[in-house]
Amino acid sequence: MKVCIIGAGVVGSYLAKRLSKEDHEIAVVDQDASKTDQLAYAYDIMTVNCNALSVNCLKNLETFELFVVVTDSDEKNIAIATLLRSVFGKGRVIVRVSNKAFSSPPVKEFMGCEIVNILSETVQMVLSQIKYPFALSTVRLENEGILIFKYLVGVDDFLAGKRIEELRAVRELVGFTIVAVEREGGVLIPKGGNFIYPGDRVYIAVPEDRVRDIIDAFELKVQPVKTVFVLGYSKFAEELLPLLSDIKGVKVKFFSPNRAVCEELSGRFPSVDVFHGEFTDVELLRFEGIGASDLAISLSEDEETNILSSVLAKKLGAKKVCSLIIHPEYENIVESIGIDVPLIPRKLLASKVYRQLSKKGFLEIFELSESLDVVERVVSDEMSGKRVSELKNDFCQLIVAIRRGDKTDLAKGDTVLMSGDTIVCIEKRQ
Amino acid sequence: MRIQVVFRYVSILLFVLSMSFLLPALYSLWVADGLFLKFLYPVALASSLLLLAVQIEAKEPTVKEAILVVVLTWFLFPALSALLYMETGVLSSFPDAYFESVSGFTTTGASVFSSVEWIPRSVLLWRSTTNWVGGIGFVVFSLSLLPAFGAGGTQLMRLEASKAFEERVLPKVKETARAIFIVYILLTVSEISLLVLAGMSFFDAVNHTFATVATGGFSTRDGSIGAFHSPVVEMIVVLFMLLGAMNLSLYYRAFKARSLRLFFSYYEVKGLLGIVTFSTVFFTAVLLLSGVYSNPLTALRFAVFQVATSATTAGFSSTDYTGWPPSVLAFIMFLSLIGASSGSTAGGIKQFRFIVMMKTVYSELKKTAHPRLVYRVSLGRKTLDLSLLNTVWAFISVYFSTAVVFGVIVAIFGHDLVTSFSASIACITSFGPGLAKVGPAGNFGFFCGFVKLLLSAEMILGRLEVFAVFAVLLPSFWKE
Repeated sequence: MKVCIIGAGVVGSYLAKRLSKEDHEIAVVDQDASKTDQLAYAYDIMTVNCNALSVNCLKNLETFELFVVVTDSDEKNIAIATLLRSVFGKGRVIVRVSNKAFSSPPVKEFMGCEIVNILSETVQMVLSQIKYPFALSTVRLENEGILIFKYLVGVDDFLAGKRIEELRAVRELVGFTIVAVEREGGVLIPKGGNFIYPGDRVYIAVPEDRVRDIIDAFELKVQPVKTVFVLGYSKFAEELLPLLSDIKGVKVKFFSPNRAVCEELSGRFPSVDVFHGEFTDVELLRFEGIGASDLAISLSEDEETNILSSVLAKKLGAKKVCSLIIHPEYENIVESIGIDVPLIPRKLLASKVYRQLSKKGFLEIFELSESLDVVERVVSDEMSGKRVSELKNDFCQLIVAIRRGDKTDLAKGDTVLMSGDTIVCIEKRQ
Repeated sequence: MRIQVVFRYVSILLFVLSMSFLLPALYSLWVADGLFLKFLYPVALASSLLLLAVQIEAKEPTVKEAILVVVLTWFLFPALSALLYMETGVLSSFPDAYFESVSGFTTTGASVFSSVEWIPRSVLLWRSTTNWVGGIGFVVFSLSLLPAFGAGGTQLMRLEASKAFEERVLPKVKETARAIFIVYILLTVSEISLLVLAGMSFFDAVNHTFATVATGGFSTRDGSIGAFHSPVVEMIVVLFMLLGAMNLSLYYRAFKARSLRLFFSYYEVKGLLGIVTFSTVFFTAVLLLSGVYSNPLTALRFAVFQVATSATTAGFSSTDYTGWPPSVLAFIMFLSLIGASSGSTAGGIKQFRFIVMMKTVYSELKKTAHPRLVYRVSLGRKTLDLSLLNTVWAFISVYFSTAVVFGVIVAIFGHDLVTSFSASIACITSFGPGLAKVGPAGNFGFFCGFVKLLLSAEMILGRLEVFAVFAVLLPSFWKE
């Protein structure tokens, strides 16, 4: 497909590289030639240097089908999308914004294009850390009411050393599916005969209302989050703090080296303790009890500072650390240096782009990890009447759940598919 | 300072305010007690001033002039009322009459009368009316009755009703004043109806209602509300004291939004109700444990009334509390110092300042343990900036020092400390009764003329929230 990416920032470049490897025709538009030169040199990408707010610039790109607008300003993005929709009549436009007002349903309907708010998505990742403290990360399938969480299997865990088949008794009782196992950098979609080893990261799908039962059945270690340290201020912190300060039973401590920011936030969030100081001020962090904190979130504008302050927080005893990572290139190293939960805002955007690109008729697509997706699709007439166990791998590597009408059930081997069902699949990216 | 502009506005205000004499005048005409003409003298005086004033060209007052207008009006109108007390012969000396008038207009309810039941009923009605007019404030009263006043009303109104933030209910200041006035009248009408239903005579109901919604505390009986020996009457009065002690414009806003939640989630409403609930429990427990009352219901009945009348600075009494344990008596003074909502008819330092005080103190204590903590104080959803915080603290310190200084001056005149200081607190907070000799069974009549004038000034200081009056005393106020 012909995809035009407007804005060669971190996310724009990342998308361009990834999509060009997957044989799409890509154009990247940015006023700043220095940003696009590298892309044009190393990848099979067309680069255009002009101001996307001018009609002449966009005219060159009229043949493109899908537009991804990711410049660094909300207002600019919205304005470009307006031009694309009105002057050029383009229907497939994905716009990134960070202002909640722009991603509200009335605006989406008015603009008639996909408006993605990366802020709220990232913030949801943090909140799910508090709601599901046992999980390394979670994906919620909102339509189905299913939660897929990633869990690190410990040495003395109930799951450790078990064969998947052995869990059948629990499965009869609660209903869950182990959708994938991450082991030594690779991912496998497990069969009944596979073992689970300590150190594995397993992805478990479970209906949202049964999460408590699965915790009991698997004897998962749950340590409720009581103290949260928020280090640094950015628009992500701005989005997170109101939600965080509303959660009952969670004490929030905020740190920033910027006095004005401290004063403003302390007025707006009376329940948050605001401290003025550097993140590297070990004395201050220790004095305020970072050693006893359950979660430390580094959210400053500067991601290198975030990574380092997270590592420091971990060293000082924070049980779990989250760090805002903007460059996707860092994603692979952060877990190995001890950052438990990297917050990577590009994920949502990428999944929206993939949904537009897919020829398979995905309804929705979520990224579980770098090489694992959850997709939703509709069962066609020719598939109708088949059992789940009879399905070929190329259609769907693993069926997690089936939605029929308003009801969603986890899939079992003998479930018969019917035309019009929506199925949730796990797809391993090649 | 353009004295003619000040004169013009003061005269207009005095004239509009003097219209309130017509209510007891008409009553006097109806019962034919021969006092009708006496009620018209002050009106005639105010009218003649107005005749002079209307000759002066209308100009917008500056901030300084507005301050002077409000302060002068508050000092002068009670003098007109004092004239009436002296004309009708119920009081003979000017300090007595002035004290009684100021006490009425500032809704203090302190009295120089040892008995009121011999006073002509039309004069009693005037006495309650001073509560009612003063409760809503001279400026709001005048603005809502005047057909035109100009933008100067904004300046004047700001000085009379203390608020943490400028909150206009309606875009025009005159409309705002009218909305508040309508709320006030609705409260008044509902209380009169309820009291009549509870068996009070119409005359008593009107008088007590005027004193209740204004949180004033004047009564037509020597035994105050206690003279009716009716728990129902007491509870009605408690309810309307509390209603009058809420921000009056808040009713309008809650009504506009059709939302009770808006009303009850307001920080001052929550604060006042919280304090009232806590104190009621405390009072009941102390009264029971100390053996003042043996029946828990009786203890609760008197506790609830005393807490409400103190916290709203009304100053009614349902029983003589002089014999109650000292812990409760001290608490009564404390409650009246905190006072009720801003923009209400009640006195004290007001809930929002008390909340700011508590929050700052709490944060400072916390800061001792966490030196790098940064804090800001917020009210509702709004954060106070530092200058506003300074204003609040300056107010609190000036307010309390004033109370102490006046208490000391009264003590110099040879009165015991409890009497002196409780009288000073009762006057600045517009509570009314103090302790010891000025307690619920006593009165302020025994003070000498000078002390009475001094306490009158203190009552006006408290009603105008100290700053406006002291500002006039600054030399820089008078420099061009």
